[in-house]
Amino acid sequence: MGKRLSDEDYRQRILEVVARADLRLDRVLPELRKEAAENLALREARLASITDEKLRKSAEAWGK
Amino acid sequence: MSGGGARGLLHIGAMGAIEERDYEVLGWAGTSIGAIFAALAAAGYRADDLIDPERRTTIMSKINGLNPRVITITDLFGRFRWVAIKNLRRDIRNPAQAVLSYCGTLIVMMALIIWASSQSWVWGGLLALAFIGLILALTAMLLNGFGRLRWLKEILRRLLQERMFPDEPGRIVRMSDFGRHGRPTLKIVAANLTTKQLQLFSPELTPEVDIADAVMASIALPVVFRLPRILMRDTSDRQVGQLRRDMFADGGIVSNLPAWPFDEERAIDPHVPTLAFELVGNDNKSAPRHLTWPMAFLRTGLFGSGELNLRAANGLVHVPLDSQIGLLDFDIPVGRVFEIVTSARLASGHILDQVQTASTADPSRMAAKNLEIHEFIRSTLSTLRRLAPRGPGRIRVATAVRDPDLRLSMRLQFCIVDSAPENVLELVPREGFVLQHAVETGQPSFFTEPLPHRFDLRNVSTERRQALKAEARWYLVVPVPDPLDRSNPCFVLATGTRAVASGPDTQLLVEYFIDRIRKIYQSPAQN
Repeated sequence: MGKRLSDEDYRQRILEVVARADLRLDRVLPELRKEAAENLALREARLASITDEKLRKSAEAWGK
Repeated sequence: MSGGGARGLLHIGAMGAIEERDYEVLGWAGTSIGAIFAALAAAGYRADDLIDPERRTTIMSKINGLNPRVITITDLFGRFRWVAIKNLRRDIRNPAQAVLSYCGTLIVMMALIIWASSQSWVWGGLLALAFIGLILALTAMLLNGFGRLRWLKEILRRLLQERMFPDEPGRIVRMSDFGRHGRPTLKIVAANLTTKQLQLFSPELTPEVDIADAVMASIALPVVFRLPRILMRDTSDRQVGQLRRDMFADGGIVSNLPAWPFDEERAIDPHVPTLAFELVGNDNKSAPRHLTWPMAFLRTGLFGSGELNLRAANGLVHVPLDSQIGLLDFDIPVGRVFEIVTSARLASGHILDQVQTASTADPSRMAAKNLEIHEFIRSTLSTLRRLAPRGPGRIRVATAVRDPDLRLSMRLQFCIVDSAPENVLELVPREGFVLQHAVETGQPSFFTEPLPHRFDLRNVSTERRQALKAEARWYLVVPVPDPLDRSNPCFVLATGTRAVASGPDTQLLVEYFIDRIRKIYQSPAQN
């Protein structure tokens, strides 16, 4: 059994663990955001290309 | 697929949107015009086989090959019948004008009869007889219906046979041919005027019925068409098994949006959603007045109950399709038809993409955010054994979304369990659950079992909430921007099956979790 960490040391440990997990997140986030931005642009372009006004409005209104 | 006359064109766009997303369709159901497209889709026709806006082709060329007398869609009503239906459409659009013009004709005829009678009783009598004959003929025409279903029925029968049994010319496609040998099932709704009840045609209930007959029964709008009779097996107590000719009318008068016929399938397999495509729209939005209320009454009777069909909310996705096309606008130019079908495909696709259930072919896009959250929580809990002495356990991360049709519950989407997407489309009750707290406060919250007393709602307990509570030892709820940029409130719900220690360190870690969840869910516009 290793030595039990003091409360302060354990908080430091939490920070280290979270920072390590954060590093991975920092690698993934730009990709996620890029994809989200692309999806948003695609959705907006698709909505804009609906020529029937009522159909466009019903698609825009869905979920709002 | 709901009824809606000429607006049914939009269903072709909906079919296209389903095909684009590679959904595996297990069954189709339709009422009225929706029944035609449900039958064709179940038989294997694709949207582009019916109308292909890119190649600018339609199924009319094939139909013309089957019946050379049918050149345009309006010819399907029968030779010269479209003129009468067009007049009916004019009268429906301007009912007050129609009433005035018919009353005017009546007054002129009465005046003529009185004048002729004053000159000679013989001429007056003959004119009166002619007038009564005219009235009787008009009444008979109305009751008989203007259009004829014979050509349409023959063409539909051939189209189904050619697609499903190309080697068996003349074969009648029946209800029992669906829902077997890998084919999707088919359900059609009509109004049975003989039994005075809703009639559901399905492989289980009416296996012997000819599909073309069932579709004709479903589309037979009184006055527009002559009401068909179909040979049905009597199921009443007295004459079980006896054959009887039942008279049918448009299914729209009993159930215009037939999502409910799949209730049993949804109960058996709750992970499979039902997509309900409803043709909405109103030719005349003006408020009913003293003279125009009958049309409003008729329209409400035909289409007003759509809301009831959506009550079985779990696993049901409502796709309303509005359009500028009127109920009887079967004569719109072909260029406009291509435009409408393209728009309907885009609009349906837009809505389906927003639903993005985990059962779709590619759930990864939205689930990616929850997978990151899952990995973050799992890796930190695995390392910090003082906070999670028995390890991270089974962690579940999902996005809870408030659908517009839901009042008491939220829909869990993009579920990640044990690092993998979970094939689930689940409703969870808000009241008495941690989600309600987040909805009310708009703040993130973290709870461990046993939950505070305010969540013990003995009288409104539900099995679903109990099941969630039985499994989870802790709950983290974080309000986040909607990943699909809708204005709906949206929450990330993370749960774990192993207890975590309580104390300031746990609070510190939870704050990190909340911070990271918000970071992951930040909308792209904010970066």
